Amino acid sequence: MVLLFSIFSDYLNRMTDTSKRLELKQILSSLFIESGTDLKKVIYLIQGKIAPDYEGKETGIAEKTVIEILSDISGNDPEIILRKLGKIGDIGSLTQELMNSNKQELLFKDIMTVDKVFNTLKLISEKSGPDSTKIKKDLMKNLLLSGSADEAKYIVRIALGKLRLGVADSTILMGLVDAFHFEDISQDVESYYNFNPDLAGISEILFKNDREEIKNFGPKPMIPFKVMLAERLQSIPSILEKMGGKAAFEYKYDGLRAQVHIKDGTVKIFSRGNEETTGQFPDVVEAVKSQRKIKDGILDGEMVPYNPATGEIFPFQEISRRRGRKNDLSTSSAKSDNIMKFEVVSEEGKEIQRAGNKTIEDEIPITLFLFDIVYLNGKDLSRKGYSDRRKALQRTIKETDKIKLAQRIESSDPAELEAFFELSIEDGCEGIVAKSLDKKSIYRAGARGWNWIKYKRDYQSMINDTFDLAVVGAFWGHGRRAKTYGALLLATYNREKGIFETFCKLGTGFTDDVLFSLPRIFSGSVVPGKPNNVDSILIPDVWIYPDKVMEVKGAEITVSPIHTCNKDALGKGLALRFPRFTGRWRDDKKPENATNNIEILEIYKNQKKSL
Amino acid sequence: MTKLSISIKNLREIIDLLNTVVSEAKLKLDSNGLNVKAVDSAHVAMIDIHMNRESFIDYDVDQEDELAVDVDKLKGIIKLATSNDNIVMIKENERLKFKLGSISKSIPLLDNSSVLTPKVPAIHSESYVILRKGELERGLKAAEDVSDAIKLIMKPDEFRARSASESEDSEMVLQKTDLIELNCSTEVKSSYPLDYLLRLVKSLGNAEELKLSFKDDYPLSIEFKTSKDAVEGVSGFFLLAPRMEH
Repeated sequence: MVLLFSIFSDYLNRMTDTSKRLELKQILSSLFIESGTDLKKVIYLIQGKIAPDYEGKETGIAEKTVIEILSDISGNDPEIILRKLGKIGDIGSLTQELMNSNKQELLFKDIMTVDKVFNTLKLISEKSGPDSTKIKKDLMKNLLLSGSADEAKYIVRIALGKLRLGVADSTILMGLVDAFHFEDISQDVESYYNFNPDLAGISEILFKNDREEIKNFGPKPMIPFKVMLAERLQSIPSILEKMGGKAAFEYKYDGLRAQVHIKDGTVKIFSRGNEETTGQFPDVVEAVKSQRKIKDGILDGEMVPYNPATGEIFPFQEISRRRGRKNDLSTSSAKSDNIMKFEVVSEEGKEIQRAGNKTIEDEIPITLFLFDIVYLNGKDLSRKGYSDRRKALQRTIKETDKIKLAQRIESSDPAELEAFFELSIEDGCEGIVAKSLDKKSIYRAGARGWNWIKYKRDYQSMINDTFDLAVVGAFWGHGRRAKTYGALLLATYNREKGIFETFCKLGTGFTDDVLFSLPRIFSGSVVPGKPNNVDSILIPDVWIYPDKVMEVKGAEITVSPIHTCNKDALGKGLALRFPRFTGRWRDDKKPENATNNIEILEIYKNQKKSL
Repeated sequence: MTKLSISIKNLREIIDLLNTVVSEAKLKLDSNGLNVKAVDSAHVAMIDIHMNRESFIDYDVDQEDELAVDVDKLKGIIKLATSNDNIVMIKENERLKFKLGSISKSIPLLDNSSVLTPKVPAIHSESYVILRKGELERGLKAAEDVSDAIKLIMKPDEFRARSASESEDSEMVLQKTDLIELNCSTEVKSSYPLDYLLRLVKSLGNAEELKLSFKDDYPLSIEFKTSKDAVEGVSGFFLLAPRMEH
C-alpha cells in the first residue's frame, strides 16, 4: 500500500482547520491507519522533520533558495516574489499561489507519494559538495512541479521547517494509541515516549503491535530523554505537608540542565531540550570519562560555573559565554550579560573559544553537580525510588573539582530547612528542591510531579518565582519604539488541550539592544494568522508561532477578562500583573515546557490563601 | 575487462554535454559503442548521447558494461590532458583508471544502482528547423540579459526566437533562405528556460548544425552531431520541457 502525497496533504488541510484536540486525534488516527508501511515517514513529515531531533538533520534548504525556485518556475523576478511574500507572510501560501500561474513543465513526472517526498527531502539533506546547491534546488523544483499547488504548499513548509501545524507530540501519541488500540497501556506508551522521544520510532513499535517493548519502557544510554521536572510550592511547611512530613532537600543550582550519557567509553551531553551540547563542554566530558565505575550510564545534573578554589558559584550568564555567537543580536549586545546566546558548536563540535592565552575552560570552569542516576552498567534505575538512586549515585561517583554531588539534607524540621534554603541562596543557588523519600518516588521522565517540588525566592516581588512564557504575538510600538515591538503577547501552556493560553502583555525589562532587535529576533516565527495552537482574545498586530520562551517576573496573578489562561476552569482568565523580562531567554526550553496553566492556578490559589 | 582508448576531443565533448544536465551519469557500453542517457534532478532537461565504437581508438568491452561516474571528477582528468592526447580508460575492480601521456590516475566508480538511467519520453513533432549552431547561439545570447525564458516560433517561411521582460526585449528572425532546412506547415510556438539552452549550445563546440523540433507548448528536441563524418564524433539529442503561459 502506497500513500499518495495528495491524500496526506488533504489530511494536513483537515488538521489546519481545527484546533480541537479530540478532533485532531481522530484525524491523526485515520491518517495513521491509512499510512500502512509509510507510517514512520508520515510521522516525521507531520512534525516537519526528516529524522529525530537528536540527529540534528535538516533539509538545508534556505528560504532564499525557495524564492529562486519560485522565480524560475513562475518567471517572476525574485524581487517581486519577495514583495509578495512580505504581503502574504507565509511562503507556503505564496508557493500555492504561484504554482497556479506561469509554470515550468517537466519532461515526465513520478507519482507523488509520501515515500517519494520523504526520500527526496532526505536526499536533499544529504547532498554536499560543489554542485550540491544546484542539485538541491533541482530536486526541490522537481518535487514542487510534480504535484498540485496544494501539495507544493506543504512541501515548501516542510522543507523550510515551517509546517507549524500546532499539533503537540502528545496529540500525535494519542492518535497512535487510538489507531493501533493501545488504550489499555496508554500510560506505558507515554512513558516509553518520555524516555525515547522519537514518535516515528514509537509508531513502528505500535504498528508491529510489540506490546512487550512498550511495557519495558526505560532509559537507554545515548538516547536523550525528557528529564524529570519539579512542581512548585510557596513555603517549606506546605512542601513538608505534601511529602508526608519528611523529605530530602537539594540545592537548586542555576546552570544548564545536563543529561550525561556514557556508553563504551563515549560521553555525550544533552540539554533538557535533547539537543546535544557535548562539543561545548570538553572538560566536563573528560571529567566524566575518568569516572571508573561507570561503563554505561545516564546521569542527571546541572552544569554550573564554579570556582573550586573558593567554592564560589558564578551567575548563570557566565555559562552562556561558552555558547557561541551564532544568533547574537549584535556585536555590542553580545557583551551584555542578559541576552540570549544560542548554543553553537563548530562543525567538528570541538570549538573552544580562547581568551588571551587561556582557554575558556580555564576562564569559566564548569562543574557538573549531579543529583540523579537513571541507568548504570546495564541496569535501568529509573524505576527505583529516589533514595536508592541517590545511594547508587553516591556509591558510583568519585567527587572531583569538576564533578560533585548536589548539596543535600534530609529533614522534617522547617527551621532547619529554612536555614538550608538561606544557605543555598548565599551559595549562589536559585533555591532548593524537595525530593520525596517514598519508595514510589521513581524517576518519571518528562513529568512534572509532586515527587519533586522546587522552592525559590524572589525578594522583590509578591510571587516567589519567575515564569517561563511562550511568545505568541507582538504589538507595534509608538514614539521611540515606533520601529519595533512595543509589547509582546505571552502565554502559558495548557498540556491537556495542547494549546497556549495568553497570560500577559510584556513591555518592560528589555535592554535597548534587545528592544530594537525584537522584530528581527522573531522574524522567522511570524505567521499570517493566529496559530492553531494558540487561544487568545486579544488580537496582536503580529502573530508569532510559539517557539521562543522568555523568563518573566511579575507582581501578582489577577483575574482578567482579556487573557485566556485557565479560562475553562475559572470562567475568566488569569493574568500576570506588572510583568517584567528578566533578561533570560530560555532557549533551553521548548515552548511546550513553558509554565503550564495548572502551575499558575496553584500559585493563584496560594496567593489568595496568603492574603 | 573493459578497456577504452579515446581521443581527448571526443571525451571532452561527452563530458561537456553531460555536464549541462547532470553531475553523475552511467555510461553504457555495448557492441555498438557508448550510450548515455541522463536527466537533470528537476526533470526539466534530458540528454541522450551516442558514440560509435569506431570513434574510439581502441574499444575492448566484453559484451556489455556500465560505468557510473562522477562527471566533475572526469572534468578534472580532462584538464590534465593536452589537446593531442589520447586517453586510455581501464575498469579495475571498483575504479576507473586513466592513462594520459606520462600521467595515470584513477577515480572511484559509483554504485551502478545509485545512478538511474531515465526512460526517454516519447516525443514527436512534425515541424522542425535545421540551422547553423552559430545562428542559434547568437539569438540565445541576445536574449540572455532580457529574460530567463525564450519563445521559439516556427512559421512556414521563418524561424524566430523572442525574449521579453517588462523593460527589454530581443528577437532573432531567420528567413527560410537563412536556414538549412525548414519543415513547418502551420505556425507553432513554445517557451523554454534559457539557461539550459545556453549551457547546451556552449557545450556543443564542434557541432555545426542543429535540428530543432517542437510544437505548441511541447518539449523541444535538439538533435546534434559533433562531426560531419558519418561514423566519427558524438551524436544525440537533447530534450527540454516547455514553460507554459497561463
